[in-house]
Amino acid sequence: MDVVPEDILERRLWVLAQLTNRLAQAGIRPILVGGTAVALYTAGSYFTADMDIVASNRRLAAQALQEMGFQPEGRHWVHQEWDIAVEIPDTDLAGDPKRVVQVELPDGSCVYCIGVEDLLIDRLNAAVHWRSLEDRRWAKELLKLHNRSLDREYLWSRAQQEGVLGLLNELQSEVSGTDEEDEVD
Amino acid sequence: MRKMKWTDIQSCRRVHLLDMMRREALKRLPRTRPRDPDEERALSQIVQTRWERWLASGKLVILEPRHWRLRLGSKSEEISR
Repeated sequence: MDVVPEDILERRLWVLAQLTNRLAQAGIRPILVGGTAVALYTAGSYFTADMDIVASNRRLAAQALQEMGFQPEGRHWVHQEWDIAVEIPDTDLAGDPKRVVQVELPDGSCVYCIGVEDLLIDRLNAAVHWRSLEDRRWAKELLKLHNRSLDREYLWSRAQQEGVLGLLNELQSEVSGTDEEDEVD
Repeated sequence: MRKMKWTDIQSCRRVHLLDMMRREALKRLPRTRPRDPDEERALSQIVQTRWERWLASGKLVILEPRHWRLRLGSKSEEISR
């Protein structure tokens, strides 16, 4: 018997910690990416229907999910009882593994999450190429919340490589403006 | 007013999600319609407040920039694994 967190973000992290533990024996480190990573970096403010992870060996990750009770549904692995859908969209992290954040959970287990700089690049790309205003908004939220801890040199250099530097500068300017307004208040 | 059980709503949602997964339609749909600026400011304030609450309550402890500790403290339920 286990205590399953009721909150959806916590439940996803709890499941990911179990998967991380199982895959550690095979030397595989699953990394949280996508919307659930945005949720973690915004204290659960963002909602997404599924949990995307990157794992270097998709077959072993799928096998571990199956052992945990997940069933395949299209591209997803679904656990009916826990109400969680997992997708493994890629085997390679679109970003720097050294910038991954390790998150310890109370039972000593841990999960790994894409670095906030690389997550920002993902949202900026969606904002520019899909003209997605929601992605623009969430990129701005990430920039605002994590402005002081970002590796700015890395972020700006990647933004230039990806062709999203203009939007990054625009958002930085908006965020700086907001900070000044806050200080005046 | 029509009454519905929460479990029925959850069950409908689950069926809908599973259907979307089978059709491989579960991808984010880009929103291109701008939000009202006041709405956007209010939403942003909520995000900021939630983050500050996580830090102030000790739910999230940033041990090092790339090493965090998170307490899972919401209401829980017992489910057999």
